Amino acid sequence: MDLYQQKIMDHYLHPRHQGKIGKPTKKFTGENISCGDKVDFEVVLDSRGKIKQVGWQGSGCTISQAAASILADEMIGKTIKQVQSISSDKFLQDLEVELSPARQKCALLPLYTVKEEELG
Amino acid sequence: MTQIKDNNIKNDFPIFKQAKVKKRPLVYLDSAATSQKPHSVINAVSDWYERFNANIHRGVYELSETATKKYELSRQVIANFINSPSSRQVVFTRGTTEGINLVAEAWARKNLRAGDAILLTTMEHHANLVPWQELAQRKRLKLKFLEFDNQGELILANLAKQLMGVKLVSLVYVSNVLGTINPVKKIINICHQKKIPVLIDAAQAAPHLPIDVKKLDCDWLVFSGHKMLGPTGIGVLYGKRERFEEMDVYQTGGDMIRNVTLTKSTYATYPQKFEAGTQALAEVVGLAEAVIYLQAIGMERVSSHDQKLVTYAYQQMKKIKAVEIYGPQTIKRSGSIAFNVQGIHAHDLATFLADRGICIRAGHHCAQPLHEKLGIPASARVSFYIYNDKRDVDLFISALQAIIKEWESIKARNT
Repeated sequence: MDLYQQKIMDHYLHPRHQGKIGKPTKKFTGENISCGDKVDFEVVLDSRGKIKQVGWQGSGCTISQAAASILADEMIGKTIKQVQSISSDKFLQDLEVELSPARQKCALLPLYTVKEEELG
Repeated sequence: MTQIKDNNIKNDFPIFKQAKVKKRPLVYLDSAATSQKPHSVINAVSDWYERFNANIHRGVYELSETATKKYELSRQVIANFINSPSSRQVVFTRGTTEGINLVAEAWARKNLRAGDAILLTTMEHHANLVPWQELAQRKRLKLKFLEFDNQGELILANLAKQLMGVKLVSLVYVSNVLGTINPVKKIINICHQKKIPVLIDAAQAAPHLPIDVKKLDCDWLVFSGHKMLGPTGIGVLYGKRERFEEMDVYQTGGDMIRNVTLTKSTYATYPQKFEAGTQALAEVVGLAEAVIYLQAIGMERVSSHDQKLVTYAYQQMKKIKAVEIYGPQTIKRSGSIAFNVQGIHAHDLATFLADRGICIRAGHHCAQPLHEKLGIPASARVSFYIYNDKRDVDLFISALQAIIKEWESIKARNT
């Protein structure tokens, strides 16, 4: 039996870009009120407005925490606007895991946190 | 253990023949959220539409008269089920939530004054918390809370003192998370010594325990049909005569009036007074059928079946080291067990079990303050009912063990 596909487990057990960073340019805070999962992002921008450093912290299920790590990876080199324009469908594909509608909310928490939108 | 081994009851529930989860038979351990429905209830609902459908009261043709008779007969069935002195003291609602809102609006809003306190407990479902918060805000009332201990049992040592200034007590009979069966009879006695009325949220009690409102002496008791084999969208509010007489109207409109002029109306007496508009007729008849089904088994047997099953599951779960169970020992527990597995988030666990065809619930189960008190963001919950058997528990336990093993080995491989 597979619990979750390899990419999710890998990012969950070996989170990338986890932790605080010094002097962030911008912070994002998100919570899934229906389950209490939390995730915060801090970013440092370069002179062209591109993300050169990202750090995240959070607590919650495997999916939300692995998704934060995967998103952090994707954020490097993009402007905040570019990250915010990543579609939910695209991001869910990037996770390489099949999720029920309820669990898609877990997966989308990090992206919506950076989008600064309420998780619908 | 014979009773839980020889369970033919499952055959009465079509969903267990129809529904396959990932090509496996349904292992349904989420009855505290909603129960499955037996043939007889499903038939009663479709029968209503095929043979009896007409609006009740005031129709002079035969079909309407029969419909009225069936509706009022259903009220009598419910009255007998909870040993209500009269069927007039049984009001149909949309469910437990509406029952509580009805008492908040029609009794508490009228009879409580600024500064009065309402006593609740910290193990309430949001349905028995949020309506009181709203009312407290509007009327400047105080909310007080009975705490529970490490065993998930209410702390009653200071109850008499805590009742100072309290004008209404509203509490849950059986916790939807901890499964605790609260000593409501004892609490009601103490409150009545101080002439404080008590509302009992019996959403999780009515499906599992024999309910006797005369013995309990509660002022109001509310429950939902869908958790006790009945349809969704139908529930019951029982009230004492004197309490119903003290109450304002709730919703107003058709069917709850005595006389209407353009400027003023007079109202019918209870129960009609609280049943504005066309009621959920088919659902009422369906609920009565559910009660008849439960009575044929006998609530004592329902309760002992739950007790045996929950005890067996509890013992099996206790054997798994990584499992942490919340709430009291099984003797004081009704049909559910909330738990967590060390290192696996409840939502992940529910997903892994779902992949194996096992339906459980994870989250805060509409009891956020309770989880805060336990110091956990979420829990997983298995809950049982009459159609569950030992095999369901065994399948759940072996899946749980396999998941924990798999999780550990993935972790080991990745570190």
